[in-house]
Amino acid sequence: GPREARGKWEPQDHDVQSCNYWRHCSIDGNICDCSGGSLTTCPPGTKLATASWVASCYNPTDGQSYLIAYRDCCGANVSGRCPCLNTEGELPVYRPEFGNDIIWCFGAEDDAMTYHCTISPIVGKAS
Amino acid sequence: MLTRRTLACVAAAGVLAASVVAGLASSEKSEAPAAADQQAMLAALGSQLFFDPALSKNGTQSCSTCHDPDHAFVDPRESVAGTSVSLGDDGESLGDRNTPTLGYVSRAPSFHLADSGEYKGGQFWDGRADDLTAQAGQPMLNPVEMGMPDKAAVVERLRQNVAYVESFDRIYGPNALGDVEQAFNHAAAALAAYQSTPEFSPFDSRFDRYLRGEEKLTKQEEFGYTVYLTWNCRLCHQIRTQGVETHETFTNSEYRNIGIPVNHEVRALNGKGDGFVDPGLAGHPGLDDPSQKGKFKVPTLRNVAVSGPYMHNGVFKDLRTAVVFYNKYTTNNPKWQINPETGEAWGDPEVPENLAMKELRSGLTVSDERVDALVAFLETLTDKRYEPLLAEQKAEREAARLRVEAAN
Repeated sequence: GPREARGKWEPQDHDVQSCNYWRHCSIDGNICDCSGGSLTTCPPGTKLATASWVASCYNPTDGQSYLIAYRDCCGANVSGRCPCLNTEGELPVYRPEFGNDIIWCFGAEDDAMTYHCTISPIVGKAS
Repeated sequence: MLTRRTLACVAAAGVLAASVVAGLASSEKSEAPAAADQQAMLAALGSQLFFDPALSKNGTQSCSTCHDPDHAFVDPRESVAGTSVSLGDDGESLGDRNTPTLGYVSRAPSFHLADSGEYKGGQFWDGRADDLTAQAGQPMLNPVEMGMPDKAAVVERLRQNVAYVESFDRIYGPNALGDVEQAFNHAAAALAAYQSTPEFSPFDSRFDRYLRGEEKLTKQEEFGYTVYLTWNCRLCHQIRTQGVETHETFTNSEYRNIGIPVNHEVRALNGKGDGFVDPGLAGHPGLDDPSQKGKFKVPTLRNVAVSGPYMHNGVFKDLRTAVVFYNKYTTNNPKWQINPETGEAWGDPEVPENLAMKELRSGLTVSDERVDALVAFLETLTDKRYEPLLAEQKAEREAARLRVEAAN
């Protein structure tokens, strides 16, 4: 299948701050856990955007794929820590706004529009 | 030789033995099956009540009249108000809110203040009933619905039916219909038990089958699911903000004001008049809180494609209209400021305060392509038994489209 064809991606389930953490399979930016946030929460002082993009990521621990809705934390300068860009597990249909980075912070409180980092919460199980 | 006296003793011993055996049997049995039996009997009784027009004043309507099981438990009857609101037992009274589906309502939590700071759960569009049992008796006594004068009159109707007398006694003990207040509550509990059966929440839609790996979604449906997840829909129409939910009902059961305009047609017909303002959650008894004014319960999206018209007042006939309404908040593009059903502006919110702007103003406008995809996705949330209704609707839509095409 396509996953094998991509080859190199070897997701792990122990280090959230590493770029190959399984939930980051389609992350594009910086991991919030490295700048005072967590895997699923924004760092203090930043604003969570409502917009998101979705990828289907494979969890090596339980062998299941999950839908991750990446959301950006905005309103502070880019964290610069743990930068990461993955396109694994990404299906074109799951990335309707690909190439349009500017929307990422839309919906954030106080109209915060500066990108700081990205969180990787699960929003469902991929079929 | 057995005397009368010894016979009595033998008989007494027999009774004693029988009661010991019964005692053993009940102590051997765990509590759970007994409770399950009770629940099953209650649900069966509830099913009888649900379809019984004797619970309305003139005997013309039952719960099932407005919550038609063949139509996703909504009201398919056309009246002067179309299908926006329902006609009562007296044949002329009209409600002010759209009859919601009863599908999946048993999955809602009891009314409470959630950690989010928002009220959550309960029944009715404004949550004024804490749970299904608290809700079930209200339509019977509502003068614009089933119209019974009081609880005593309802219980009297129950007493007149031998089958009910037997069922109530079997479940609640002898003379269960003796006390009016108790009997009325028990009838409500039976209706709640019936609505809690899988008949109302089967989780057998195409989407469920897709999640179970039994079926594939089309590219468009899958895209619609993606849009639903990435746009602001899921901020309210999803049980959890994150994590996996196997029995998703597509509502967080909270209350929001999304700025729905008045349904003027209904207000002109039901006598409320244009000065009336539906307070929504602020009308919840004991909740005299202006910050809740205009908020209504986030409805389940299951069976949404076959349970129109939409919103608490049935103001939108078409599911597509209900979807594009949300574009009002994300763009100034004139195209999205028009209600496609009327060709006019959407109209001011009935309650302009307390709008859920944080969620509504997500900054993203849903293109036509994405609206179509969202509708296609929402159609996959239709229970299996209503799929023929969906097919019928689609065929009608296609026929209408072809007629328009031919006319042009």
